[in-house]
Amino acid sequence: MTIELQNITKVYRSRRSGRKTVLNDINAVFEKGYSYGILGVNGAGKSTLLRIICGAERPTFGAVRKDVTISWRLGFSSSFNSSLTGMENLRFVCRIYNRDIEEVSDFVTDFAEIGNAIHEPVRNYSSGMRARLAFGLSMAIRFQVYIIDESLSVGDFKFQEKCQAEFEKRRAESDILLTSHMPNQIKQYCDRGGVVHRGELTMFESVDEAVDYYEQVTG
Amino acid sequence: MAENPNHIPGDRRLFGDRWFAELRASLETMYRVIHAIIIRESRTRYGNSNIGYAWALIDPLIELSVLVIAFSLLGRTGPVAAPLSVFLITGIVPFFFWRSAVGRGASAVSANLGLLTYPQVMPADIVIGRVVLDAATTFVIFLLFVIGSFFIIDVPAGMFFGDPGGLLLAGLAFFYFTLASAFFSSSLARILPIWQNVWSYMSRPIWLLSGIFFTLESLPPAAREYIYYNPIAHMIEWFRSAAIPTFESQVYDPFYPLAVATVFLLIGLVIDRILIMTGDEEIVS
Repeated sequence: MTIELQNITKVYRSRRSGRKTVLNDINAVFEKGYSYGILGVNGAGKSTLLRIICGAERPTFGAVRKDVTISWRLGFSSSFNSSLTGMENLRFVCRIYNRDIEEVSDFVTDFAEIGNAIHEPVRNYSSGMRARLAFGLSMAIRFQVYIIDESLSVGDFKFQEKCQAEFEKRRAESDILLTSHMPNQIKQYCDRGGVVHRGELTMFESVDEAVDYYEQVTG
Repeated sequence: MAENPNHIPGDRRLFGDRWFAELRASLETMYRVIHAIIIRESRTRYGNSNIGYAWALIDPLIELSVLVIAFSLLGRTGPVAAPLSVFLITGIVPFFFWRSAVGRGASAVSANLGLLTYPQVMPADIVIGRVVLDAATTFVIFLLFVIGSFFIIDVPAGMFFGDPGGLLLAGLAFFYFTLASAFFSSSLARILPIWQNVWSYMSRPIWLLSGIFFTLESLPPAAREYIYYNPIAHMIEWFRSAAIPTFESQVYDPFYPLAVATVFLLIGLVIDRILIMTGDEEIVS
Protein backbone atom coordinates (compact mmCIF):
# COMPACT_ATOMS: atom_id res chain seq x y z
CA MET A 1 0.00 0.00 0.00
CA THR A 2 1.22 3.45 -0.79
CA ILE A 3 -1.74 5.79 -0.91
CA GLU A 4 -5.20 4.52 -0.11
CA LEU A 5 -8.38 6.55 -0.54
CA GLN A 6 -11.16 5.30 1.70
CA ASN A 7 -14.71 6.45 0.97
CA ILE A 8 -13.66 9.96 0.00
CA THR A 9 -16.59 12.33 -0.42
CA LYS A 10 -16.22 16.05 -0.93
CA VAL A 11 -19.14 18.42 -0.70
CA TYR A 12 -18.73 22.14 -1.28
CA ARG A 13 -21.24 24.48 0.25
CA SER A 14 -21.92 27.84 -1.24
CA ARG A 15 -24.44 30.47 -0.18
CA ARG A 16 -25.41 31.17 -3.77
CA SER A 17 -25.46 27.77 -5.40
CA GLY A 18 -26.12 25.49 -2.45
CA ARG A 19 -24.44 22.12 -1.95
CA LYS A 20 -22.39 20.50 -4.64
CA THR A 21 -20.97 16.99 -4.37
CA VAL A 22 -17.69 17.05 -6.26
CA LEU A 23 -16.41 13.61 -5.28
CA ASN A 24 -18.76 10.82 -4.33
CA ASP A 25 -17.53 7.92 -2.21
CA ILE A 26 -14.20 7.30 -3.90
CA ASN A 27 -12.12 4.23 -3.09
CA ALA A 28 -8.78 3.63 -4.73
CA VAL A 29 -5.27 2.40 -4.05
CA PHE A 30 -2.14 3.90 -5.60
CA GLU A 31 0.66 1.38 -5.34
CA LYS A 32 4.30 2.13 -4.92
CA GLY A 33 6.47 1.74 -8.01
CA TYR A 34 3.79 2.85 -10.47
CA SER A 35 3.05 6.28 -11.87
CA TYR A 36 -0.63 7.09 -12.20
CA GLY A 37 -2.48 9.34 -14.56
CA ILE A 38 -5.98 10.61 -13.84
CA LEU A 39 -8.13 11.74 -16.76
CA GLY A 40 -11.20 13.90 -16.57
CA VAL A 41 -12.87 16.83 -18.28
CA ASN A 42 -12.58 20.32 -16.81
CA GLY A 43 -14.57 20.56 -13.61
CA ALA A 44 -14.80 16.80 -13.12
CA GLY A 45 -13.08 17.03 -9.74
CA LYS A 46 -9.48 16.15 -10.68
CA SER A 47 -7.94 19.10 -8.88
CA THR A 48 -10.08 18.56 -5.81
CA LEU A 49 -8.93 14.95 -5.73
CA LEU A 50 -5.29 16.01 -5.95
CA ARG A 51 -5.68 18.63 -3.21
CA ILE A 52 -7.16 15.99 -0.95
CA ILE A 53 -4.39 13.49 -1.75
CA CYS A 54 -1.60 15.95 -1.07
CA GLY A 55 -3.28 17.16 2.12
CA ALA A 56 -3.96 20.75 1.09
CA GLU A 57 -7.64 20.17 1.68
CA ARG A 58 -9.63 17.74 3.77
CA PRO A 59 -12.48 15.53 2.57
CA THR A 60 -16.02 15.92 3.91
CA PHE A 61 -16.12 12.18 4.64
CA GLY A 62 -13.54 9.45 4.34
CA ALA A 63 -9.81 9.25 4.88
CA VAL A 64 -6.52 9.17 3.03
CA ARG A 65 -4.06 6.57 4.32
CA LYS A 66 -0.48 6.86 3.16
CA ASP A 67 2.96 5.59 4.02
CA VAL A 68 4.96 7.78 1.66
CA THR A 69 5.85 11.45 1.57
CA ILE A 70 3.70 13.33 -0.91
CA SER A 71 4.71 16.60 -2.51
CA TRP A 72 2.56 19.68 -2.86
CA ARG A 73 1.20 20.20 -6.36
CA LEU A 74 4.06 20.89 -8.71
CA GLY A 75 4.78 24.57 -9.12
CA PHE A 76 2.16 25.53 -6.53
CA SER A 77 3.42 28.72 -4.95
CA SER A 78 0.46 30.26 -3.09
CA SER A 79 1.90 28.84 0.11
CA PHE A 80 4.84 31.26 -0.10
CA ASN A 81 4.70 34.38 1.99
CA SER A 82 5.13 37.16 -0.53
CA SER A 83 6.76 39.63 1.87
CA LEU A 84 9.53 37.15 2.66
CA THR A 85 12.43 36.43 0.33
CA GLY A 86 12.68 33.21 -1.64
CA MET A 87 15.43 32.07 0.70
CA GLU A 88 13.34 32.74 3.82
CA ASN A 89 10.47 30.77 2.35
CA LEU A 90 12.91 27.99 1.52
CA ARG A 91 14.19 27.93 5.09
CA PHE A 92 10.63 27.74 6.40
CA VAL A 93 9.84 24.74 4.21
CA CYS A 94 13.08 23.01 5.28
CA ARG A 95 12.15 23.53 8.92
CA ILE A 96 8.67 22.06 8.63
CA TYR A 97 9.90 19.10 6.53
CA ASN A 98 12.98 18.61 8.71
CA ARG A 99 15.53 18.94 5.91
CA ASP A 100 19.02 20.38 5.90
CA ILE A 101 18.76 24.04 4.86
CA GLU A 102 22.18 24.23 3.24
CA GLU A 103 21.71 21.10 1.13
CA VAL A 104 18.29 22.23 -0.07
CA SER A 105 19.36 25.78 -0.87
CA ASP A 106 22.37 24.51 -2.85
CA PHE A 107 20.08 22.32 -4.93
CA VAL A 108 17.47 25.02 -5.45
CA THR A 109 19.86 27.80 -6.43
CA ASP A 110 21.40 25.45 -8.96
CA PHE A 111 18.11 24.07 -10.27
CA ALA A 112 15.62 26.95 -10.24
CA GLU A 113 17.95 29.35 -12.12
CA ILE A 114 16.59 32.46 -10.47
CA GLY A 115 20.03 33.74 -9.47
CA ASN A 116 20.28 36.49 -6.88
CA ALA A 117 16.52 36.96 -6.96
CA ILE A 118 16.36 34.29 -4.29
CA HIS A 119 17.26 37.04 -1.82
CA GLU A 120 14.43 39.27 -3.06
CA PRO A 121 10.92 39.28 -1.58
CA VAL A 122 8.72 36.78 -3.40
CA ARG A 123 6.22 39.54 -4.22
CA ASN A 124 8.74 40.86 -6.77
CA TYR A 125 8.84 37.51 -8.59
CA SER A 126 7.14 36.79 -11.88
CA SER A 127 4.72 33.87 -11.78
CA GLY A 128 7.27 31.79 -13.68
CA MET A 129 9.94 32.48 -11.06
CA ARG A 130 7.58 31.55 -8.24
CA ALA A 131 6.73 28.28 -9.96
CA ARG A 132 10.43 27.51 -10.54
CA LEU A 133 11.21 28.12 -6.90
CA ALA A 134 8.32 25.92 -5.80
CA PHE A 135 9.33 23.22 -8.25
CA GLY A 136 13.02 23.29 -7.33
CA LEU A 137 12.10 23.17 -3.67
CA SER A 138 9.83 20.15 -4.07
CA MET A 139 12.65 18.40 -5.97
CA ALA A 140 15.15 19.24 -3.24
CA ILE A 141 12.89 17.94 -0.46
CA ARG A 142 12.89 14.55 -2.26
CA PHE A 143 9.31 13.37 -1.93
CA GLN A 144 8.35 9.82 -2.79
CA VAL A 145 5.28 10.81 -4.75
CA TYR A 146 5.10 13.93 -6.90
CA ILE A 147 1.69 15.44 -7.60
CA ILE A 148 1.28 17.17 -10.94
CA ASP A 149 -1.83 19.17 -11.71
CA GLU A 150 -2.07 20.09 -15.37
CA SER A 151 -3.29 23.58 -14.49
CA LEU A 152 0.08 24.37 -12.96
CA SER A 153 2.62 24.14 -15.72
CA VAL A 154 6.09 25.29 -14.80
CA GLY A 155 8.20 27.83 -16.64
CA ASP A 156 9.15 27.93 -20.30
CA PHE A 157 9.81 25.05 -22.68
CA LYS A 158 13.48 24.76 -21.73
CA PHE A 159 12.70 24.54 -18.04
CA GLN A 160 10.01 21.94 -18.67
CA GLU A 161 12.57 19.77 -20.46
CA LYS A 162 14.84 20.09 -17.45
CA CYS A 163 12.00 19.01 -15.17
CA GLN A 164 11.34 15.96 -17.32
CA ALA A 165 14.99 14.99 -17.23
CA GLU A 166 14.97 15.32 -13.44
CA PHE A 167 11.91 13.07 -13.18
CA GLU A 168 13.61 10.47 -15.41
CA LYS A 169 16.55 10.41 -12.99
CA ARG A 170 14.17 9.96 -10.06
CA ARG A 171 12.15 7.09 -11.52
CA ALA A 172 13.65 4.56 -9.14
CA GLU A 173 12.80 6.45 -5.96
CA SER A 174 9.80 8.60 -6.82
CA ASP A 175 6.45 8.05 -8.47
CA ILE A 176 4.22 10.52 -10.23
CA LEU A 177 0.53 11.19 -9.82
CA LEU A 178 -0.64 13.33 -12.70
CA THR A 179 -3.97 14.70 -13.86
CA SER A 180 -4.83 15.82 -17.35
CA HIS A 181 -7.69 16.15 -19.78
CA MET A 182 -5.35 15.12 -22.61
CA PRO A 183 -4.80 11.34 -22.99
CA ASN A 184 -1.44 11.83 -24.75
CA GLN A 185 0.20 13.38 -21.69
CA ILE A 186 -0.88 10.49 -19.53
CA LYS A 187 0.35 7.93 -22.07
CA GLN A 188 3.75 9.58 -22.08
CA TYR A 189 4.39 9.50 -18.33
CA CYS A 190 2.20 6.96 -16.60
CA ASP A 191 2.01 3.20 -16.04
CA ARG A 192 -1.58 3.07 -14.87
CA GLY A 193 -4.62 5.25 -15.34
CA GLY A 194 -7.91 6.33 -13.87
CA VAL A 195 -10.86 8.44 -14.94
CA VAL A 196 -12.83 10.92 -12.87
CA HIS A 197 -16.33 11.29 -14.21
CA ARG A 198 -19.41 12.70 -12.44
CA GLY A 199 -17.76 12.46 -9.06
CA GLU A 200 -16.72 8.83 -9.49
CA LEU A 201 -13.16 7.58 -9.91
CA THR A 202 -12.62 4.42 -11.98
CA MET A 203 -9.14 2.89 -11.89
CA PHE A 204 -7.58 0.74 -14.63
CA GLU A 205 -4.58 -1.59 -14.80
CA SER A 206 -3.29 0.12 -17.93
CA VAL A 207 -3.33 3.59 -19.38
CA ASP A 208 -4.87 2.38 -22.64
CA GLU A 209 -7.91 0.98 -20.89
CA ALA A 210 -8.31 4.26 -19.01
CA VAL A 211 -8.08 6.24 -22.24
CA ASP A 212 -10.68 4.01 -23.91
CA TYR A 213 -13.08 4.47 -21.03
CA TYR A 214 -12.42 8.22 -20.98
CA GLU A 215 -13.22 8.54 -24.67
CA GLN A 216 -16.31 6.43 -24.20
CA VAL A 217 -17.78 8.53 -21.37
CA THR A 218 -16.82 11.91 -22.79
CA GLY A 219 -17.17 11.29 -26.50
CA MET B 1 15.64 8.71 0.10
CA ALA B 2 12.89 10.23 2.22
CA GLU B 3 11.69 8.38 5.28
CA ASN B 4 8.14 7.18 5.76
CA PRO B 5 6.66 9.51 8.35
CA ASN B 6 3.37 7.72 8.84
CA HIS B 7 4.53 4.19 8.82
CA ILE B 8 5.21 3.06 12.35
CA PRO B 9 5.02 -0.65 13.14
CA GLY B 10 3.48 -2.04 16.31
CA ASP B 11 0.32 -1.97 18.35
CA ARG B 12 -1.97 0.82 17.26
CA ARG B 13 -4.49 0.53 20.09
CA LEU B 14 -4.91 3.36 22.57
CA PHE B 15 -1.74 3.61 24.71
CA GLY B 16 -0.08 0.82 22.67
CA ASP B 17 3.52 1.04 21.40
CA ARG B 18 2.52 2.44 18.09
CA TRP B 19 0.07 4.88 19.62
CA PHE B 20 2.88 6.39 21.68
CA ALA B 21 5.26 6.41 18.72
CA GLU B 22 2.67 8.23 16.61
CA LEU B 23 1.93 10.70 19.38
CA ARG B 24 5.64 11.41 19.73
CA ALA B 25 6.07 11.83 15.99
CA SER B 26 3.17 14.27 15.76
CA LEU B 27 4.38 16.28 18.77
CA GLU B 28 7.81 16.54 17.15
CA THR B 29 6.22 17.76 13.93
CA MET B 30 4.15 20.27 15.89
CA TYR B 31 7.26 21.56 17.65
CA ARG B 32 9.10 21.95 14.33
CA VAL B 33 6.14 23.72 12.73
CA ILE B 34 5.64 26.14 15.63
CA HIS B 35 9.35 26.93 15.68
CA ALA B 36 9.29 27.62 11.93
CA ILE B 37 6.17 29.78 12.28
CA ILE B 38 7.73 31.87 15.05
CA ILE B 39 10.75 32.63 12.84
CA ARG B 40 8.51 33.33 9.86
CA GLU B 41 6.22 35.63 11.87
CA SER B 42 9.13 37.56 13.34
CA ARG B 43 10.52 38.09 9.82
CA THR B 44 7.21 39.21 8.33
CA ARG B 45 6.37 41.41 11.27
CA TYR B 46 9.70 43.04 11.91
CA GLY B 47 11.45 42.75 8.57
CA ASN B 48 14.97 41.61 8.13
CA SER B 49 16.96 44.21 9.99
CA ASN B 50 17.73 44.58 13.66
CA ILE B 51 16.13 48.00 13.41
CA GLY B 52 12.96 46.17 12.43
CA TYR B 53 12.91 44.26 15.69
CA ALA B 54 13.88 47.37 17.65
CA TRP B 55 10.94 49.13 16.03
CA ALA B 56 8.65 46.31 17.14
CA LEU B 57 9.68 47.18 20.69
CA ILE B 58 9.75 50.95 20.24
CA ASP B 59 6.26 51.10 18.76
CA PRO B 60 4.38 49.79 21.81
CA LEU B 61 6.90 51.46 24.13
CA ILE B 62 5.97 54.86 22.71
CA GLU B 63 2.26 54.09 22.83
CA LEU B 64 2.41 52.88 26.41
CA SER B 65 4.78 55.63 27.52
CA VAL B 66 2.39 58.27 26.21
CA LEU B 67 -0.42 56.76 28.27
CA VAL B 68 1.68 56.46 31.39
CA ILE B 69 3.06 59.99 31.09
CA ALA B 70 -0.35 61.48 30.25
CA PHE B 71 -1.99 59.96 33.30
CA SER B 72 0.93 60.84 35.51
CA LEU B 73 0.78 64.48 34.35
CA LEU B 74 -2.94 64.62 35.06
CA GLY B 75 -1.70 64.40 38.59
CA ARG B 76 -3.94 61.51 39.47
CA THR B 77 -2.65 59.25 42.12
CA GLY B 78 -3.11 55.54 41.77
CA PRO B 79 -5.37 53.57 44.05
CA VAL B 80 -2.42 51.67 45.47
CA ALA B 81 0.50 52.69 47.61
CA ALA B 82 2.97 52.67 44.73
CA PRO B 83 4.08 55.16 42.09
CA LEU B 84 1.38 55.72 39.48
CA SER B 85 3.77 54.58 36.74
CA VAL B 86 4.20 51.18 38.43
CA PHE B 87 0.46 50.85 38.77
CA LEU B 88 -0.18 51.69 35.11
CA ILE B 89 2.67 49.63 33.66
CA THR B 90 1.66 46.47 35.54
CA GLY B 91 -1.85 46.85 34.08
CA ILE B 92 -1.29 48.17 30.60
CA VAL B 93 1.58 45.90 29.50
CA PRO B 94 -0.19 42.56 30.16
CA PHE B 95 -3.50 43.95 28.91
CA PHE B 96 -1.99 44.99 25.57
CA PHE B 97 -0.46 41.54 25.20
CA TRP B 98 -3.86 39.93 25.69
CA ARG B 99 -5.67 42.36 23.42
CA SER B 100 -3.24 42.07 20.54
CA ALA B 101 -3.13 38.26 20.87
CA VAL B 102 -6.92 38.03 20.54
CA GLY B 103 -6.76 40.27 17.45
CA ARG B 104 -3.95 38.22 15.93
CA GLY B 105 -5.87 35.05 16.72
CA ALA B 106 -8.89 36.37 14.83
CA SER B 107 -6.81 36.83 11.67
CA ALA B 108 -4.52 33.82 12.20
CA VAL B 109 -6.34 31.53 9.78
CA SER B 110 -7.68 33.97 7.17
CA ALA B 111 -4.25 35.59 6.78
CA ASN B 112 -2.48 32.24 6.41
CA LEU B 113 -4.64 30.14 4.09
CA GLY B 114 -1.64 29.51 1.83
CA LEU B 115 0.41 28.30 4.76
CA LEU B 116 -2.35 25.86 5.73
CA THR B 117 -1.96 24.00 2.44
CA TYR B 118 1.11 22.35 3.97
CA PRO B 119 -0.49 19.28 5.51
CA GLN B 120 1.59 19.42 8.68
CA VAL B 121 0.60 23.02 9.48
CA MET B 122 -2.50 23.24 11.67
CA PRO B 123 -4.42 26.41 12.64
CA ALA B 124 -3.49 25.83 16.29
CA ASP B 125 0.22 25.95 15.36
CA ILE B 126 -0.20 29.41 13.85
CA VAL B 127 -2.05 30.70 16.92
CA ILE B 128 0.51 29.24 19.33
CA GLY B 129 3.41 30.62 17.28
CA ARG B 130 1.92 34.10 17.25
CA VAL B 131 1.10 34.15 20.96
CA VAL B 132 4.55 32.84 21.96
CA LEU B 133 6.23 35.54 19.88
CA ASP B 134 3.98 38.20 21.40
CA ALA B 135 4.69 36.89 24.87
CA ALA B 136 8.46 37.11 24.34
CA THR B 137 8.14 40.65 23.00
CA THR B 138 5.90 41.64 25.92
CA PHE B 139 8.43 40.25 28.38
CA VAL B 140 11.19 42.40 26.85
CA ILE B 141 8.91 45.46 26.87
CA PHE B 142 8.10 44.90 30.54
CA LEU B 143 11.82 44.70 31.38
CA LEU B 144 12.49 47.86 29.37
CA PHE B 145 9.82 49.68 31.38
CA VAL B 146 11.34 48.47 34.62
CA ILE B 147 14.79 49.67 33.54
CA GLY B 148 13.38 52.92 32.15
CA SER B 149 11.47 53.65 35.34
CA PHE B 150 14.64 53.16 37.35
CA PHE B 151 16.78 55.51 35.29
CA ILE B 152 14.19 58.17 34.42
CA ILE B 153 11.90 58.47 37.42
CA ASP B 154 14.01 56.69 40.01
CA VAL B 155 11.59 53.87 40.79
CA PRO B 156 13.48 50.87 42.19
CA ALA B 157 13.07 47.66 40.20
CA GLY B 158 11.82 45.96 43.36
CA MET B 159 8.55 47.86 42.94
CA PHE B 160 7.78 45.56 40.00
CA PHE B 161 8.87 42.28 41.53
CA GLY B 162 7.19 42.17 44.94
CA ASP B 163 6.74 38.41 44.95
CA PRO B 164 8.95 36.87 42.22
CA GLY B 165 7.52 33.34 42.58
CA GLY B 166 3.96 34.62 42.57
CA LEU B 167 4.74 36.86 39.63
CA LEU B 168 6.05 33.91 37.64
CA LEU B 169 2.87 32.00 38.44
CA ALA B 170 0.68 34.98 37.52
CA GLY B 171 2.66 35.40 34.30
CA LEU B 172 2.18 31.76 33.34
CA ALA B 173 -1.52 31.98 34.16
CA PHE B 174 -1.74 35.13 32.07
CA PHE B 175 -0.05 33.32 29.18
CA TYR B 176 -2.52 30.43 29.47
CA PHE B 177 -5.45 32.82 29.60
CA THR B 178 -4.16 34.71 26.56
CA LEU B 179 -3.41 31.59 24.53
CA ALA B 180 -6.88 30.20 25.25
CA SER B 181 -8.50 33.53 24.31
CA ALA B 182 -6.52 33.76 21.08
CA PHE B 183 -7.37 30.19 20.12
CA PHE B 184 -11.05 30.77 20.87
CA SER B 185 -10.88 33.95 18.80
CA SER B 186 -9.31 32.11 15.86
CA SER B 187 -11.95 29.37 15.91
CA LEU B 188 -14.74 31.91 16.19
CA ALA B 189 -13.38 33.86 13.21
CA ARG B 190 -13.36 30.66 11.14
CA ILE B 191 -17.10 30.09 11.56
CA LEU B 192 -18.11 33.77 11.88
CA PRO B 193 -15.83 35.91 9.71
CA ILE B 194 -17.55 39.04 11.04
CA TRP B 195 -15.92 38.36 14.42
CA GLN B 196 -12.79 40.13 13.18
CA ASN B 197 -14.77 43.35 12.71
CA VAL B 198 -16.73 42.91 15.92
CA TRP B 199 -13.48 42.52 17.84
CA SER B 200 -11.92 45.62 16.32
CA TYR B 201 -14.84 47.63 17.74
CA MET B 202 -15.05 45.72 21.00
CA SER B 203 -11.37 45.87 21.83
CA ARG B 204 -11.41 49.63 22.35
CA PRO B 205 -14.10 50.07 25.02
CA ILE B 206 -13.12 46.82 26.70
CA TRP B 207 -10.00 48.31 28.14
CA LEU B 208 -11.94 50.84 30.18
CA LEU B 209 -13.65 47.92 31.92
CA SER B 210 -10.60 45.80 32.51
CA GLY B 211 -9.13 47.31 35.61
CA ILE B 212 -6.20 49.15 34.10
CA PHE B 213 -7.05 52.52 35.64
CA PHE B 214 -8.58 51.16 38.81
CA THR B 215 -8.39 48.10 40.99
CA LEU B 216 -11.32 45.83 41.67
CA GLU B 217 -10.74 46.54 45.33
CA SER B 218 -11.12 50.32 44.97
CA LEU B 219 -14.42 50.12 43.08
CA PRO B 220 -17.71 50.84 44.82
CA PRO B 221 -19.55 47.53 45.37
CA ALA B 222 -22.30 48.42 42.88
CA ALA B 223 -19.79 48.81 40.03
CA ARG B 224 -17.64 45.94 41.17
CA GLU B 225 -20.60 43.59 40.83
CA TYR B 226 -20.54 44.04 37.05
CA ILE B 227 -16.80 44.31 36.44
CA TYR B 228 -16.44 41.14 38.48
CA TYR B 229 -17.71 39.15 35.48
CA ASN B 230 -14.79 40.35 33.36
CA PRO B 231 -12.11 37.64 33.62
CA ILE B 232 -9.33 39.89 32.31
CA ALA B 233 -9.94 42.27 35.24
CA HIS B 234 -9.27 39.37 37.62
CA MET B 235 -6.10 38.47 35.72
CA ILE B 236 -4.76 42.00 35.93
CA GLU B 237 -5.63 42.29 39.62
CA TRP B 238 -3.80 39.01 40.17
CA PHE B 239 -0.76 40.14 38.18
CA ARG B 240 -0.60 43.43 40.08
CA SER B 241 -0.97 41.77 43.45
CA ALA B 242 2.05 39.62 42.64
CA ALA B 243 4.10 42.41 41.08
CA ILE B 244 3.56 45.37 43.41
CA PRO B 245 5.00 44.72 46.87
CA THR B 246 2.66 47.18 48.60
CA PHE B 247 -0.52 45.85 47.02
CA GLU B 248 -2.34 42.63 47.77
CA SER B 249 -5.92 42.61 46.54
CA GLN B 250 -8.44 40.64 48.56
CA VAL B 251 -11.21 40.58 45.96
CA TYR B 252 -9.89 38.78 42.89
CA ASP B 253 -10.45 35.10 42.24
CA PRO B 254 -7.64 33.31 40.36
CA PHE B 255 -9.85 30.33 39.54
CA TYR B 256 -12.52 32.29 37.74
CA PRO B 257 -10.35 33.49 34.80
CA LEU B 258 -8.62 30.10 34.59
CA ALA B 259 -12.00 28.37 34.37
CA VAL B 260 -13.12 30.81 31.68
CA ALA B 261 -9.87 30.21 29.79
CA THR B 262 -10.39 26.45 29.94
CA VAL B 263 -13.92 26.83 28.58
CA PHE B 264 -12.55 29.07 25.79
CA LEU B 265 -9.91 26.49 25.01
CA LEU B 266 -12.40 23.61 24.90
CA ILE B 267 -14.87 25.47 22.67
CA GLY B 268 -11.99 26.53 20.42
CA LEU B 269 -10.77 22.93 20.17
CA VAL B 270 -14.22 21.57 19.38
CA ILE B 271 -14.78 24.10 16.59
CA ASP B 272 -11.27 23.44 15.25
CA ARG B 273 -11.82 19.65 15.28
CA ILE B 274 -15.20 19.89 13.54
CA LEU B 275 -13.81 22.13 10.81
CA ILE B 276 -10.84 19.80 10.29
CA MET B 277 -13.00 16.68 10.23
CA THR B 278 -15.55 18.03 7.79
CA GLY B 279 -13.00 19.90 5.65
CA ASP B 280 -15.57 22.64 5.52
CA GLU B 281 -13.29 25.58 5.10
CA GLU B 282 -12.07 28.05 2.58
CA ILE B 283 -8.96 26.90 0.74
CA VAL B 284 -6.39 28.34 -1.59
CA SER B 285 -6.37 26.61 -4.95
